[in-house]
Amino acid sequence: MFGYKSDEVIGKQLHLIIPAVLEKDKFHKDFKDFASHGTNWVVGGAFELEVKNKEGNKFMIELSVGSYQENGHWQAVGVMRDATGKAKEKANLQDKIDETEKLNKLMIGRELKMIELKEEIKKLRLGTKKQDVEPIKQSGQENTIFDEGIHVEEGVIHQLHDHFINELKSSTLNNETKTKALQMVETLTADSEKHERLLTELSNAR
Amino acid sequence: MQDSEKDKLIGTFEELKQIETKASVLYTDLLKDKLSDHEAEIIESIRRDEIKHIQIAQEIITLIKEDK
Repeated sequence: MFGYKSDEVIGKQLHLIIPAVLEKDKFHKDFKDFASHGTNWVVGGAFELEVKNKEGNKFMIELSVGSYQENGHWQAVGVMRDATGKAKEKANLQDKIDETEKLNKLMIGRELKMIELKEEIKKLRLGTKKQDVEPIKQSGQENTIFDEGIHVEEGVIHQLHDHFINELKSSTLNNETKTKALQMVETLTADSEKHERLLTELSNAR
Repeated sequence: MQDSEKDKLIGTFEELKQIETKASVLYTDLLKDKLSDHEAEIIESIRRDEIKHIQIAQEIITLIKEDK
């Protein structure tokens, strides 16, 4: 795993083999703790570390260390496992999580826009005449039976037409179909503007 | 165009049909109010337009369905 032959490492200090982790001074201090108590920060756990092989290339390992006593002296046994694949999997998973979060934000933005539109549609379906007309009355403007129609034409249908136009423009319909459909929606919008004008005239005449 | 996109777009215009239907109902209701002849004539023309709009929305749906 590290590229050393056994005679290159047997009897050598660990910090020479995995210098990225065990700095010399820290190793000596931790080793003293271990010699007197049989424990230090390494013992008893399993964790991932970045280490270097003989050629100086960095890679990830999973290290677990245990301790035992023999003839009154503390001994340590360590097991290392190449965790390169695991690290890659972790990075891939993180990429996927980031991507999902990005997508989620986009979807939420779109969903909120749809909720606003649905609220407008709901008002129209429920025919909430009083609630819709009341703000106009409060603002001191004329309040007639035609105001609800004005609200529907101006506040709901116009906005929805804009939404439908955007949906059509961003679709992958072939150009001929898209042009025809857009012309049709534009006819609806023009009619809606005419309705709004006529209703306003009727409202003003009352 | 993928079927899923087509279905979504059709759904959007089905919604438009519903809105135009509700608008035509609104103007039918308005006609029940006390209106002058002139007012009734205008409201009736708007109501007919809304019915025409339902047909237009249906034509758009047909166009989308037939798009290749």
